[in-house]
Amino acid sequence: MAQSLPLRSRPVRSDVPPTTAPSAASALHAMSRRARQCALGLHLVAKAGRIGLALYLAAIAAHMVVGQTVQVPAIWGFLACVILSTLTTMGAERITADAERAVADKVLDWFACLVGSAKVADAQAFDPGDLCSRLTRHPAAAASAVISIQNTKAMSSLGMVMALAAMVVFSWQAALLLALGLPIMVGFFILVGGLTKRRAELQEAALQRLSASFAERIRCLPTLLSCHAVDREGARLTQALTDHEARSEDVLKVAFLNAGVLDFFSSLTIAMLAVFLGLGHLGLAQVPGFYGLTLAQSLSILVLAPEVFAPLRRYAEAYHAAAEGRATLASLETLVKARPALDPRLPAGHAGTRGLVLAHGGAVPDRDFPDRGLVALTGPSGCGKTSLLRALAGVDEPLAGHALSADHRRGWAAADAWLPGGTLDTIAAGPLGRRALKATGLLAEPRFGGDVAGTISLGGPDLSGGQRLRLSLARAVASDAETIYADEPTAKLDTVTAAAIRAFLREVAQDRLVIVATHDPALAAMATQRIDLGHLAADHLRRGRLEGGHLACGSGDKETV
Amino acid sequence: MNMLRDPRWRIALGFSIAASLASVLLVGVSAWFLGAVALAGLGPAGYAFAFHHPAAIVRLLALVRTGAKYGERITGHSAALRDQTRHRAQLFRQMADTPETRATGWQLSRTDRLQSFLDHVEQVDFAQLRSALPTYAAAGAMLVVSLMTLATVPLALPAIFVLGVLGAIISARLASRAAHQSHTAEAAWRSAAEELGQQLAGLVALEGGNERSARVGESIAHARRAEQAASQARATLGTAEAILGMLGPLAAAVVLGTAALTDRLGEAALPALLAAFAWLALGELILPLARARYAQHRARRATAGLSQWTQSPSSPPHTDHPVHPPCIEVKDLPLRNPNGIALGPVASFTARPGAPVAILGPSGCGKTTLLKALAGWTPWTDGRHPLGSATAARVTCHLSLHDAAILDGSVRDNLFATAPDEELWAALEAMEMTDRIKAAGGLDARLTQDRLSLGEARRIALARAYLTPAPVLLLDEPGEHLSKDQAARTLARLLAAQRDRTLVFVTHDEDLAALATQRVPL
Repeated sequence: MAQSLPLRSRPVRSDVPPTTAPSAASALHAMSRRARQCALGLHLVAKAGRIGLALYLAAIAAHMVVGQTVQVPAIWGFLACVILSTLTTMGAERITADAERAVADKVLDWFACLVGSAKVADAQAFDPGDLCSRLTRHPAAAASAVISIQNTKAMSSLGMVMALAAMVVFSWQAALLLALGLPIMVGFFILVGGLTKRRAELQEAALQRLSASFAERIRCLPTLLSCHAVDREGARLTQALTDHEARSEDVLKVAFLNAGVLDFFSSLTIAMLAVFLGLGHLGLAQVPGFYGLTLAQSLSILVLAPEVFAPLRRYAEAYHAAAEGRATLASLETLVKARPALDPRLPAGHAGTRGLVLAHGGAVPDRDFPDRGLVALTGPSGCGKTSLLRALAGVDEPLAGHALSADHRRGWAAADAWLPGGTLDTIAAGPLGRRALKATGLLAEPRFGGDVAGTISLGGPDLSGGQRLRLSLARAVASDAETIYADEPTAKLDTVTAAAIRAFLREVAQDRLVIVATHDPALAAMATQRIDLGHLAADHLRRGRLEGGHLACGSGDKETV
Repeated sequence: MNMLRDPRWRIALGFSIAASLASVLLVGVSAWFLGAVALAGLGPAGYAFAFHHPAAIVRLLALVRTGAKYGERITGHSAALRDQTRHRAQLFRQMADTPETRATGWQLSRTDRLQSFLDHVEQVDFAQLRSALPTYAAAGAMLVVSLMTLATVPLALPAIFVLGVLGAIISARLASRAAHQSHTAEAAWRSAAEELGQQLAGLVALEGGNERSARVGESIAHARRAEQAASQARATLGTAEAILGMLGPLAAAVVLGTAALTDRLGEAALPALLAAFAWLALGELILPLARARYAQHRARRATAGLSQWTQSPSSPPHTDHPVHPPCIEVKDLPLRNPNGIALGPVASFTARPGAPVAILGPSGCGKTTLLKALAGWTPWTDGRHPLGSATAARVTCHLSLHDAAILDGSVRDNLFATAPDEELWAALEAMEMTDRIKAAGGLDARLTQDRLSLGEARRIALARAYLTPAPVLLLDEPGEHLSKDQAARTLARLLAAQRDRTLVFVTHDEDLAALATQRVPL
């Protein structure tokens, strides 16, 4: 049978063309570029609207004071600017929200690929708790890093340039004065930033330690209660919090200097401009650019000054979010590498093995399994029973060779199986399910109230290993699975239940293929075929090295009981 | 309003109102000043204009604004930090006292749950700084500008009032909708994380059953819903800000328009200029109010979320351990699982000092439940508690949980003992941890949950039991994650060291049960 098998090239994972993966950050940037630019354009129009309405207001006021008239066209202009700026701001927010959602969806695709279809081992390389917590944070953080934070950055320079350009229309000297002020301000930023950097970093580290120590004590709370250590740890926590508070206050005094510099410059420029322009109006000083202006012009310069600084403040506010965004994008690089894995097994008319070598357990003899019957994988703990079971089910890729697959639909029963929530009769539905629930002894369990309406919550977090194993077996049997894989189906059970499970497995094996990894000799004795990995392992050790994978079959080979 | 009762917050509020008033007046007075000098400059009075006073006021306002803003930041953050210290210390105590902590499986030991809990704590921590302070400051400035308008162009006030009320209603609605959307998002994120966690734990089985991508797709779908709700919340907040941003300029226009309609032109328009430009500057202060309102909603929800951990503030009186270990007599106790469903047959036994009792049975038969009830962690439903009361039991018992946590701290911290170092080393030696701890760097070496294997963590927990002065010891599966031989060796040493105590342990292993004086099969 083995020789007649059509040996077409096996779809190994390395055959998948290695898509030249762009880094996570550049992929996200590329997909959102158009929407981001669109939003930025709208933000610019909104900013122009805000500048415009302030200028119209200045013009209206100036004409009321000096010309003693009301300029009706300016009122219309003002209203138009109000509407324009409101609508474009709302439009920009909407576009940003939609584009950020698209980016978040893309990041979620990566999560889905890693956990849902990449190699199991790849997904298991991540810390599960960490991965769950990243799932809830990273999509949104990455999205704002590539869109809104980028735009805030762009607006902080473009908005400033716009306000300065508008000012040039009225007095290029005033615009120059402000423009010259900017490098001085940036110089101050750098100076103060340098002074406070070290302290700010220390502060940041202290803050992280602090929240870690709070989180740690909350996490361990039941243990602290059981060891009578709540008072001790509570006192330590209070001490740590108080220390942190005292130290923070010192650091904050310096750290807020940066924001203070910005406030100082924006306040002072308004005051300076007002005084200079006032001197010009009175003719007390004839500074070029500040002399001989109309009131409309000088009021316009005055209202433009805050618009120069406002974008800078927004960027300073987004500074922390920007740092977090960069860190998020960097950590997504590990995620984006995940590729969907193909079933490593070779499709065939029947299940079996060909030249299979396991990373854990060594070479496995070539076998062909029947369409129905019980196959037992046996051997002492750690000899690779479960590894072989996984390879046969296509969960793991073997070192060499391949498993043959005939099943399109398969079921898996184990003590760590995942279970859906619901009532017993929805988890294992139909007459087969009811039979399975009865045969596995689940209906007799007080936990389920002896009724098929007994419920478990999603994932069955409160079930014992034995209950989980039996329920997953019942679920697999009730499904239309052609092959059922069971990992240690009689472990963790009392002798009566274990006997019932053995009888039930034999019953199921009359119609389907049941492959069990087991160290239960009574179950192994029922098998129609057996692969004894203990003998193989011993043999493997004797030979000292692998030889092409094909080893003689162990002595446990037998056809029927 | 409790902000006004707290001296620290009062100072911060003072700075905050001073800063907002100064920034509003700076723009208003500057505009008025320019108008006045422009008029004066037109005539011969130009040189006689008292220039220095208004110029000095403008400069003073600029300095006050800078200084007050700095003061507001420092005092506001310092008050928020003080609140944080109080809040977290209190929260820890309350959580230790609440029955929920002992009764159910401890969900906060999971990273995702802990993270969402910490998010709630943080939202409550800084709510005052983010929502109350800017709201009060803007309200104060608005009051002053309204008074200025009343004194200069009183007829503009009704229209401004209508504008303000409309703006407030719309933005409050939008902020509350955004808070609701982000609440929806948080709930969906929680289900996504929870389901993904379960799927990661059963990943091999899911793949083996050929349902991995379908099931993982379900939890990712929750996350997608969450992202959608969160992006709606962002857009809603953005709309609220866009609307609020127009209130200042519109109020300014109303003031100027009213002045023009009532024929206040020329010199008579100067007071209107002051009020109008003050309203324009106020617009910047109104802008953050949507976010402030949003933060307030979130803080309220977060407080509600935290309240499940702070239900009962009844602190049990702290008493010293009784000198003589008591007997525990259990008669005809029907066992129940955590859901209250009756399990298996009744149990009767008596645990005396020096005569350890082993409760034997397969997993899921209610052994842990019995142990927690004995320790006073769950209510004793059948008559009087064998140790007098649940409170007395909590004081008397050392409960060694089968999933005991390792605290991120030194080995010494993790043993929870006041004994001298030799005794600590003896305990570690008895639990076969000496080499491991020596290699790690001794008693002051740092331990974390991740750095220990399950078996090592189990043995640290047993070392805690080895050292405890508690008269009653209750051990849940002392042999779990240990090899059969090691489990028997370590438990035998523990029983020998604590032979004068009353000791009950549960196990599913016959060999371990054989170490006890009395075996109670369930």
